[in-house]
Amino acid sequence: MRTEQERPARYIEPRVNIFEEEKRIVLQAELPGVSRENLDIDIEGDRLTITGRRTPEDERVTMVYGERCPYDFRRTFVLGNVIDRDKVNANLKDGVLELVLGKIAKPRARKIEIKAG
Amino acid sequence: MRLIRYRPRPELDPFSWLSGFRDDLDQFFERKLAPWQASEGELLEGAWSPMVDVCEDKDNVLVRADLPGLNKEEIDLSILGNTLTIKGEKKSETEVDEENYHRVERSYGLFQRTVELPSDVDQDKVDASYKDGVLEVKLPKKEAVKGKKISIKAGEQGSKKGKGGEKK
Repeated sequence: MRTEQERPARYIEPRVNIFEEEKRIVLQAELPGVSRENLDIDIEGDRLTITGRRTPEDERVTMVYGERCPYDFRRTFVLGNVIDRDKVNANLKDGVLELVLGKIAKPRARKIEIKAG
Repeated sequence: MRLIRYRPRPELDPFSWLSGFRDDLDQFFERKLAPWQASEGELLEGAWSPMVDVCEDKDNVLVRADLPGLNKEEIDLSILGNTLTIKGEKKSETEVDEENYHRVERSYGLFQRTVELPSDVDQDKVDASYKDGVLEVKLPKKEAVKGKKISIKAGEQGSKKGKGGEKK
């Protein structure tokens, strides 16, 4: 078993789709091999960082052919002003993280009546 | 190159990017992992192919494929001789109007991948599971290939067996 310190501190960026709806912005990130307990979502200031750790390969097996990236996933996004930091929901299913970011409700423009002077 | 929608008005993008760092990463991985990566042309046509690892130990061959966002019912697995084929179709989970996309990097559509297995396997005892977006196929090696000791016989001196067909 490798310890946490010995693991390569290298990351690959997960592929994402981001789309916007009327009241929310949805971010889908592909994190194959990452389970719920190995996923961290951190919001610090205006930065949202997704980190997903993959289980290291069992060292008793011999790699014949390796294409899958052995590194963990990490990607940082800068949140715009429209996003309500308190309305962030996350759901991880089948290696896809779906983050739903609620938008701040725009204050309605108030109509000002002009009185005849 | 990844398939990224060009967004001409970055000031409207709620996510801005650590672009320099990102480019470095992209370059690094493209250089290192280029052989398996579909060329841009293929990507635009919708063809994609999952990344696969093949491992083995004394008793089994292990194949893992990154297939995030699929159901196990959508993956079709077959084996012929020493060739394992993984295929299926990845559909979009959500229907979104194109103009509402800020970024599209995920691939969808049909995929097919064939993997040459490093040794003979017992086709009746193949075990496949799908978890966290990774397909794992465990193929037990045939008894015969697990490592049989081969005894070396003393060869016949001066044998010309392979050069037959010259008789008249």
